Amino acid sequence: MKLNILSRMIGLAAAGFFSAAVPVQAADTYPDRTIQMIVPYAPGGTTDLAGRIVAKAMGAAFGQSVVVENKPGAAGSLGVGQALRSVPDGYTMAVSGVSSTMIHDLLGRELPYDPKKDLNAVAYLGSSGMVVITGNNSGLKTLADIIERSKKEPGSISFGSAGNASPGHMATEYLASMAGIKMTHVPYTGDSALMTDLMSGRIDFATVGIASVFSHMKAGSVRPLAITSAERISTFPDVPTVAEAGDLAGYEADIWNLLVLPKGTPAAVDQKLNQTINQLMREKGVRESLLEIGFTAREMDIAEIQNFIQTEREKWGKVIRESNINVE
Amino acid sequence: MDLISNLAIGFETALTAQSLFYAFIGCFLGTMIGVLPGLGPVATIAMLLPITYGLDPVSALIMLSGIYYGAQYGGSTTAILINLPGESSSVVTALDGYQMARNGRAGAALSVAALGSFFAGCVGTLIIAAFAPAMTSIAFQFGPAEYFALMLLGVVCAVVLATGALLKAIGMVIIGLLLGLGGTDITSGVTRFAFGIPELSDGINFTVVAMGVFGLSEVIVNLSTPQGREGMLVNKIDRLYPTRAEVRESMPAVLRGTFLGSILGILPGGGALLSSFASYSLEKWIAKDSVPAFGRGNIRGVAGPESANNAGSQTSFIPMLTLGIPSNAVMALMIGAMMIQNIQPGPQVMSSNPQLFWGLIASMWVGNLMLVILNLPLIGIWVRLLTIPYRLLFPVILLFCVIGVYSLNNSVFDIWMLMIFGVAGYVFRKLGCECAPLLLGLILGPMMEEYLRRALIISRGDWSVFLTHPISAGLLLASAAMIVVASVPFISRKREEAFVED
Repeated sequence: MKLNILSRMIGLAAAGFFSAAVPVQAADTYPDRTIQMIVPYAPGGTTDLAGRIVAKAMGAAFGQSVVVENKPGAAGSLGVGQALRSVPDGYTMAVSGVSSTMIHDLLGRELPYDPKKDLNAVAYLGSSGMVVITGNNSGLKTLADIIERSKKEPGSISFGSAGNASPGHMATEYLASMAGIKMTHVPYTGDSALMTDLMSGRIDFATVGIASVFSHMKAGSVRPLAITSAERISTFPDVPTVAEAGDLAGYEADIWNLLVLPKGTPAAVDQKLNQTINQLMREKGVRESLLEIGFTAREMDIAEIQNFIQTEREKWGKVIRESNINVE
Repeated sequence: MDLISNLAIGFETALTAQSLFYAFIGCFLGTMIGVLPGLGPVATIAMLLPITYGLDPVSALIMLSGIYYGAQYGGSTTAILINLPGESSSVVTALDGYQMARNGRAGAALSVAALGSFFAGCVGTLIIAAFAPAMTSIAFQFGPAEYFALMLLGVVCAVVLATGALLKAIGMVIIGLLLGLGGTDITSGVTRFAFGIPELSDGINFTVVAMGVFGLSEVIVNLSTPQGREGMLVNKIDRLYPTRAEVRESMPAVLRGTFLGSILGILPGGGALLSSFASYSLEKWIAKDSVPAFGRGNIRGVAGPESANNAGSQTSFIPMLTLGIPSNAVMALMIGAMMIQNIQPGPQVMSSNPQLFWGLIASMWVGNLMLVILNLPLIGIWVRLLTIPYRLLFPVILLFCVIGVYSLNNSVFDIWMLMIFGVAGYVFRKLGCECAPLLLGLILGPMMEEYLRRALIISRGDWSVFLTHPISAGLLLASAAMIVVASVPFISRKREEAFVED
């Protein structure tokens, strides 16, 4: 903790030193040098791909290169923390996700930043749904089957996710609390063990990001039961939403990404980034590239993003209170 | 014969000028990054992923897999020459390979590693071609209980077959297991032993520890003696290639290693990782009286694990190609590359894209051949590298260590960790403790815990699963047998000379 305070003090000192110089160059010349975009996950994942798509388009729009740097660790909070502690001049930013924006904080985990105070979200980079899948040999054919069996024998159904308090775990607990059922959570650390156990029937179902099982769904090697988004997706129009399949009106759980900068960044820079990215989201190329990896683009201004964060925070806070997700 | 006609399709694809070109680029890049310690295939493939968008899928995958097995080859080069394993699999190679280099047999170690890998690669390729679909069922047989039993056997092997004193080996495994406790608890999400340092919340990175206790501590040891500072091998290089006796000794080790690696490689939950450790243990058990002793430069200790590791890295393609399940981070990136090309990995690849499937398999063989051709002449150059005075060589080693470690997570913190473990490794050596059991404990500890707890969650807390599942029961029985075999001479105080303190 001491180290944290110290590094934050150094950060603040540096910020004070540099911020004197920042307003001079202001927004009309921004950006006049290379921008660093931190992706807080290992290369190759969907967040990384999404970040790279946006970074490339931003680079073209600004005429300055936007360099993606992968800084994995602590479920995304390490990289986000690094960006939020950097000099607030608009040249260091990070892609944050549901976990690093709020879930870690709601669970009371120790973070290198305070999402409520330090986080300055300037753009919405798209959302992706999750999907409830079973193995092909499973006797559970619909989401209603899962709910029905869990009502009869609480805890008898086991589900896998990418880890404790991962979006898949949260989404399933949300479902369970709405349906009034109890299921057994089996956390995994990687896709391979999860998929092997799912396909061989060791676990009953799993809730994972659509992008990560897209190929399995297309190949027919797993059976999709329901999509966690509010609407069905065009690639699999026959797969119902959780709200439809489980008769749980109002259910919606998505994975989303935001572009975040440190607090204290000049407002003009925030606005310029917001407008540029919204502009990019309107472009067909960017939209389609994002869609290919399962992300739906959406334009939001900064006030809308703040409202969005607030709504999501309330929703997940409630899920955490009502279910048994906790850090003991 | 289906197999023949399929392979014919494959070679037609793999032997086009374009495929050969990308296979060469992949192998070359792979060898280079493998030789640079710490720079792994994952980072390289991730960097190259955007380039593959523009290539046709076959070329893209051929190049990526070339990088993957090229890196395996290159990784053993630094392990042998300067005791610097960049990957888990080359930790084992460093044990006897580096000792061989000190005895002036670096050339022999490198060529046996290359040829053993080539042989294993050929067998692995044939296995994929002939049995891929049939062998996928093995992967499904392995649930958490089976993996736990397999990992336990690995730890027991590490202890029982360690060189020096048994007690020290047990101590080092335990230290490794304890180090592995740090990080986020998977089941509850609690952070353990992070001391408020966010960088520690994912546990201690294996590569950092390996490079510290092996590579960095080696540098310290060398600098601490006058002859070490001069350069150790100036006058000691005799013939470059193995002697007939060495070849005779290596052959059976290569065969056994290939067999073990082919089987373990299929398991996506860390099987390939175990294959080189398993092979080393097996060799040591079979040839325990051979001279020089294991750990002192025995060529079987290089031949077996290197073959196992390469066979394993070949067969680890099986779960990816047939199930779309990646067995490691590189495979996950390759699946990403396939998806970008709009190819859905899974059992249907074989029928929907036969050119791609069989072409990739054929190109694996081509790539292995290329690596041998690329590496055998290089051996002379590598060995000559050792004649460079150490005072010039060691700053370069340090520099690459630091760059490599930084590139893992783009984190300066890891460089500090490297230094801490370098010093720790030096202390362990002075105390006569081997670091290989520590690394095995560090790798296997967290995995064992994960599988144990998962097995118990799925069984709802019923411990009998470990005995009612036949594979798990068999592996546990084997572990128990090994402990009994090892402890009988220990108890009667008649342990052989080789087991006792050096």
